[in-house]
Amino acid sequence: MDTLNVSFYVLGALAVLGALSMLLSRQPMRAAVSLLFVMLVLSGMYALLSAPFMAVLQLIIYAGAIMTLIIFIVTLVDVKGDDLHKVFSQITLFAVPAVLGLSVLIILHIMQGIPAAGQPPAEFGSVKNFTRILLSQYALQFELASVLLLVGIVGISALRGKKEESK
Amino acid sequence: METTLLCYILFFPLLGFFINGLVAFFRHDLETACQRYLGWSEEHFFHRSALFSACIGVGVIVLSFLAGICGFVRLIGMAEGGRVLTQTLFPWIHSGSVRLDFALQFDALSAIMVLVVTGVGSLIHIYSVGYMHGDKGFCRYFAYLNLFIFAMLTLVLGKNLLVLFIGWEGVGLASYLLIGFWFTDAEKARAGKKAFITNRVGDFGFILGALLLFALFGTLDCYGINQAAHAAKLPSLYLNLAALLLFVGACGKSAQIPLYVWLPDAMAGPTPVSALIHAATMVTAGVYMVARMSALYFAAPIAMSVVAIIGAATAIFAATIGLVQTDIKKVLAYSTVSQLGYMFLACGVGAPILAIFHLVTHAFFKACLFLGAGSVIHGMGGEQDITKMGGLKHKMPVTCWTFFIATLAIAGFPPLSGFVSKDEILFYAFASKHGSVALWGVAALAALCTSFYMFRLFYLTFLGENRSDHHVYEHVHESPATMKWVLVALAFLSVVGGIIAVPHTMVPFHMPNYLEHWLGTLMHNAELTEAGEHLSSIFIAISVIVAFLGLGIAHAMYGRKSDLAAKMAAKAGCIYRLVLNKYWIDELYTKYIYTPIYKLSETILFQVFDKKCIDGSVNGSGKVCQKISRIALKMQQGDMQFYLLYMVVGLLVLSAVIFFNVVK
Amino acid sequence: MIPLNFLLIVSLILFMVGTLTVLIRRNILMILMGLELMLNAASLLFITYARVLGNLMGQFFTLFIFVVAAVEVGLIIAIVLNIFGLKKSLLTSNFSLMRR
Repeated sequence: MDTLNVSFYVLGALAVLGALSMLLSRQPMRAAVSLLFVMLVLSGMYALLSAPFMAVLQLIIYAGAIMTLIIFIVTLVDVKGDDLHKVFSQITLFAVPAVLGLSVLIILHIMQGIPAAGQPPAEFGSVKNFTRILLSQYALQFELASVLLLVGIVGISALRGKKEESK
Repeated sequence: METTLLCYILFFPLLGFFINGLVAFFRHDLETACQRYLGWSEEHFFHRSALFSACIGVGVIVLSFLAGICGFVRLIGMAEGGRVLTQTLFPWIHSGSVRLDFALQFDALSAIMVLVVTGVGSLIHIYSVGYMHGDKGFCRYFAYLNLFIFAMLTLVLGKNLLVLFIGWEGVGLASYLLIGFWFTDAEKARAGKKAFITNRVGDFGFILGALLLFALFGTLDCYGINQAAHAAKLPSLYLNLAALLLFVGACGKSAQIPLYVWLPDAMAGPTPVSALIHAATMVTAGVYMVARMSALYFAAPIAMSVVAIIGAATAIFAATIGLVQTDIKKVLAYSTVSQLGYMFLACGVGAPILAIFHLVTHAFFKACLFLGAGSVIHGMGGEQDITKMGGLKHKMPVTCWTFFIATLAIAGFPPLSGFVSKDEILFYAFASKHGSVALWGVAALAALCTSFYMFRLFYLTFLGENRSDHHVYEHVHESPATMKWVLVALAFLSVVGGIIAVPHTMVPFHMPNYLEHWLGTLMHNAELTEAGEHLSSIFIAISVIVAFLGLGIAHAMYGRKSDLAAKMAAKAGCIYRLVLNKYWIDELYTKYIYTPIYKLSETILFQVFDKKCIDGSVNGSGKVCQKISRIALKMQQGDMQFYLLYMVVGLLVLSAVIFFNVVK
Repeated sequence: MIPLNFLLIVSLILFMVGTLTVLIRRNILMILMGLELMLNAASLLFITYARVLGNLMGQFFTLFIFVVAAVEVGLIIAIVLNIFGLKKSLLTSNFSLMRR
C-alpha cells in the first residue's frame, strides 16, 4: 500500500464520518460545521485525484462562500418555537430501509466490474490545461452558466427584494 | 344513365329550406338590423320578409318542377326498356360485400311521383301565399314546406330502401313540424306528437322489413329486391314476412288500419299543409312504396291478401266515420283515409298501376277539396263546423264551383278523373285473380258512402240557408287571386286527370292507356279472371249507379228542408253514436295501449330501470372511484419528504429491475 | 494506483447520507445541507472518473455543479427566509401546504 492509497482511505473515512455526524447531530450549527468539514476533506481528495484547480475552487466556492451562507442563515434564523429534540420525522422507519436497499443494489452494480484506472496524461488537470479547454471548447456552456447565475440573482431579488412594495 | 339533373330536382327545395330557415331563425336580428340601418318599420319588415320568403319558397319548388319536367322529357326520349336516370351523390356504406350509395333514380314511376309532388306542391305553395298571409310564422312556414318537398323528393327518388327511408323519416319530421305549426295551442302540438309517434310504430316495421330483405337478398336496391323476389326460390314465409313488415310501415305513413288514428288529428295544421301532406303527397308514400315493391308483393301472396283486406276494411271503415263528422276538415281527412284504402286495395288485388293512377287523380281532387275547404275556413274567419255554414254559394262562387267539380270527381261521376280510377279499382277488386266478390262489395259500399258524405258536405257548406252567426256571414268573402286560380287549376286537373289511363273497356273507340304503357316496364297488373273480363260494362254501370245513389240520398236528407237526417240519427241512436265517436278507437287505444305502456314506463322503466339501474350504475361507479381515491389520497398528504421517499422507492425498484436483468 | 472501488463507495455513502438527511430530518436547513452533501458526492464521482478515464469533462461537470449549487443555495435561503417570516418555524411538518 503506497501513501497515496493510505491517504485516500483516511480521507474517505473522515468524509464518511463527517457526513454521518451531519446526519445525526441535533443542532443545525453542528451539522453545518460537520458539512464544512466534509467539504474540506473532499477538497483534499480532489487534489489527490489530479484536480488541483477543482480543489481550490471547492475551498473557495463551497467551503468559503456556500457554507458561509448556510452558517450565516443558521445563525440568522431564530428557531425558538421548534422542538429541537425530535429531529427525525416519522418516515425514518421507511426511509432507512429504502436507502439501504438502494445502496446495496448500487454496490452490487459496482462489484460487477469497473474499468481499471490508467495513468493520466501529463499536466492533467493543471490550471493551464483546464482553462484552455474550458474557454475554447466549452466557451458557450461557460457563458450559459453566467446566465444561470443571472437568473438566480433575479430570482432572489424577486423573492426578497420587493416585499414592501407588493403590499 | 348517369346524369346530374336529379340533384337539381332534389336540392332546389333544400336550398329554399336553408334560405327561409335562416330568415326565420334570425328574424329578430334581421328585424333590428333593418330597422337600424335601412329605417324599415316593423310592418315594413314583416311584409318584405314575407314577400321574400314567398318568392324563394314558391320559386324553388317551381324550379324543381321544371327540372322534373326536363327529366320527364329526357325519359320520353329514351328507349322504352331503359327509361331510367340515375345519379350517385356519394358512396355511403361500403363495408365488405355491403355497398350502399346515396343514389338517386328517376324512372317512370319516380317521374310520375316527382311531377305530382312538385306540380301539386307548386300550386299549394302558391295557394299558401294567400292563405298564410299575415301569419307571424310566415317564413318558418315556407321553410318547413320546402323541407317537406325536399324529403318527399328524396323518398320518391331514392334508389335503395335506405335513401327512401331517409325521405320517409324526413317527411315524418316535416309533417310533425307543420301539424304543430301553431304550437302555442297545446291541442295542436299534441296532434303533431301523435302523428309522429304513430308513424314511429310504422317506421319500426319498415326498417325491420328492410333489414329482413337485406338479410335475404343482400341488397337494398329497389330493382335488385324486385328481381330477386321475382326469381326467388326462398321459402315464401320470409318473403311474406318482409312484405308484411314493409306494409306496417306503409300503414303508419298512409294511415291505414290500425295506424290511421293520427291523420284526422293532423288536421290541426294549416289547411294547405293538410292538402299537400295529408292528402296529396306524403300519405301516398306508403302506396308508392308498395307499388315500387310490387314484384315482391306478387311473390308474397299472403302479404298481398293482407294488403287487400286492410285496404278494403280501411276504405269502408273511414267512409262510415266520414258520414257523420261535422268538421269540414275531419270529413275530408276520413275521406282521405278511405281513398288511401282504395289504393291499397288496388295494390292488394294486384293492380299497382291502378293504385298509382288513383294516387295521381286523388292528389288532384283531394288537394282541390282541401284547398276549397281552406278557402271556406279563410272566408269564414276560422270556422270549421259545417253545421254552422251553409249558403256560401253566393258569397264565394269560385270556391263553390271548384269544390263541386272535385266532389263530383271523388264521388265517381263520369267522365271525371275519380270515376275512371275508382271504377277501375272496383272492377279489379272483383275481376282480378287476387280479387273476390267480398272485396268488391265492401269497396262498392265504401264508394256509396263516399258519394253520400261528399255531397252531404257540399250541401251543408254551400247550399241551403246560412246557419252561421249573422255577423260572420256578412264578412264572408271570396279568397284572394292566388288561392282562387289554384283552385281553378286543380279543378281542371280533377276533370281531365283521368285521361292518362282510360281503360280499354270504358270507351267504345280506341284510346291509348298512357299510364299502363308508361309504367309497363316497371310493373304490371295481375291477369283478370275470365268471368271478370266479360262483365266490365256492368261494373261501370254499377259504379255510376252507386255515385248517383249517394247523391240522391244526400239530396233527400240535406238538399231540401227536412229533418230526415235528425230523425235517422235518433232512430239508429246506438249506431249513430258509435260512428260519431269514431268507433271509440281512440279511447280503445288510450285504454289498452297508451295507458299500459305509460304505466309500464312510469313504474318499471322509469322508477326501477332508469332510476335504479342506470342512475345506480352511474352514481355507483362514481362512488367506487371516490372510495378508491380516498385510499390513494392517504399517499398524498402534502408532505414533501414523503414524495421524495416515493422517488427513492421508485429508484430502488427501477435499479432492481435493471440489475436483475443484467444478471440474467 | 487509485482505489477506485473505495472512492465509488465513499461517494455512494456520502450520497446516501445526504439522501437520508433530506428524507428524515425535519429542519429545512438540514434538508438544504443534505442537498449540498448529495451534490458533493456527485462531484467526487465526476472527479474520480475524470482521473480514471483521463478526460477533463468530469471536472468541467463539477465546475458547473458548483455554479448550480451556488444559485440553488441563494434561492433556497431566500425561500427559507420567506417561509420563516410566514410561519416562524423551520419544521417541514408545518409546511405541508400541498395537502388537498
